Amino acid sequence: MQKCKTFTLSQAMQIYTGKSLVRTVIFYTVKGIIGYFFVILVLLLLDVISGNFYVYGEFFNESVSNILLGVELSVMLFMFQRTYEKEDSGGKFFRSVTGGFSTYQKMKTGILFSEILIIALVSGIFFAASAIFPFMPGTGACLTICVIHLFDVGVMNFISIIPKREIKYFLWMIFPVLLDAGSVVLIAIAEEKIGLFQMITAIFAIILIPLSQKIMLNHYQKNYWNT
Amino acid sequence: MNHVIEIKGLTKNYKDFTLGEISAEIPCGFSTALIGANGAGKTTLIDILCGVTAKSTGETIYFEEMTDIGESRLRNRIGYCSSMNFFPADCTLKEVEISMELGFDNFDKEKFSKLCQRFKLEVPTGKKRKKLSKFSDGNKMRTYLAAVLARDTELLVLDEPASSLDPLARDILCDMFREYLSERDGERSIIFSTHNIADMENVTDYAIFMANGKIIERGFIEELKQKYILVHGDAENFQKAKPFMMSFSGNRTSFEGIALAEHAGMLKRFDTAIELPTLQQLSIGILRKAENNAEV
Repeated sequence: MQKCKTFTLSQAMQIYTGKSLVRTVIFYTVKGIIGYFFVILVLLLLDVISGNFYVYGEFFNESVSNILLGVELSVMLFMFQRTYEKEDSGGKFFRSVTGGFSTYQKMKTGILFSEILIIALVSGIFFAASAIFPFMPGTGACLTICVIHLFDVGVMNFISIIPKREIKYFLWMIFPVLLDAGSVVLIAIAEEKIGLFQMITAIFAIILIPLSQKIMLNHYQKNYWNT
Repeated sequence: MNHVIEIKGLTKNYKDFTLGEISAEIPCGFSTALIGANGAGKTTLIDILCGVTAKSTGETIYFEEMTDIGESRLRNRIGYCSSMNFFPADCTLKEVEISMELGFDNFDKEKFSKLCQRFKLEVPTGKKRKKLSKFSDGNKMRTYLAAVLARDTELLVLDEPASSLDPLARDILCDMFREYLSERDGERSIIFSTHNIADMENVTDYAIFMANGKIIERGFIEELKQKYILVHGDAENFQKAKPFMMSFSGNRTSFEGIALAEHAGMLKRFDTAIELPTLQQLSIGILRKAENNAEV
């Protein structure tokens, strides 16, 4: 009789995405940082091309820097929202592998850990680097963007429950952008009370993430997996 | 006779289509073809049997002992592949290898490499790593087949494995079917759906014909060829022969069709020639009759 293996979160992720948990975290963290510096480089190049070193100074300020970091994390969150439905490419393979839905559940949990780790890592690196580079978001902004995106992880889970695919993808794209914009405005106008805001958002995120993950997985199993 | 799969009262309800109620026994140790027009329910049945789609009602018994397709031990015994987009389009052969190795206990990496070579695909470990989305439809299917055949399974369930293959690759597939069955004679079975009946006839032992979500005929090919006959005749005798025929086609000079063998004596009176039908001719006859019945 053949023995049957049980998967770790990382192995389940590897089956679905081709990348282990560690590789995913490193890949997206590096991608996020490179993406940020690439935009900075483009702005600097615009300065050089314009010849008067004016563009950088004109358009680049702390708010732009905060937006860039937020966008990088939002794009990453969007990339992780793939639901692997039966009709999608690979959907039938994933439904046939050992473990069935429990493998899917582990993959999604692995993705959740990856999202949290990437947000923490990218924000942490920017937090540390803000002391060295003047063009990086400030330490307060890094913390705000971090907790806002952790809150966003939970909201994205809830959005995945929406049955209409087009609306779901639209909200996955638009909601993080709206949150980013809101956080940038908040950082700019409520600098003194930002600590309270960070704390409240963090508490909400801690409650929302496991709750939304459980609801999302139950909904998926009932409405998409077992159909 | 042992049955690799026994289906009891299986149904699946969609908004616009209902499968079943289906009851059938699929013999163990043989290659079974699911034959039917598009939309007959072949893919739905295969997906239910492999745990990809949930059934509405009914029961399926696998290997005469197991009923829960969610059980990993059973999934490991069944090799399944769908007709399109079985693996994610953005993965490479190497990633397919990794996913298969992790996803199943009985995947053999070396065998996968050998099968890739036999199907004239790139080596999974090679430096050039093309994504499946860049593969032709034929090469995608070769990849799916190489991956599923690299597992040590007892039952293969393949949805239209021959549809996107060229004639040469279809021939290789037939060889592989024979090798798979003969490696452990009597213990392994294959179920596949096909529209390429002529090409797959020599690897088909048992056939199940489906129309409008139901099984309309099934049996061993040799038995079916005794049950049905192919009838040829001149057009002038067509009206006399017509009541005894199941399905027919013709032109101004002649006609041809399928009839039950029990009517052979009667049909011979109308100056007709009686022959043993091929599986292709048999299929067209049986499916055409089902279509006509549905129209009536």
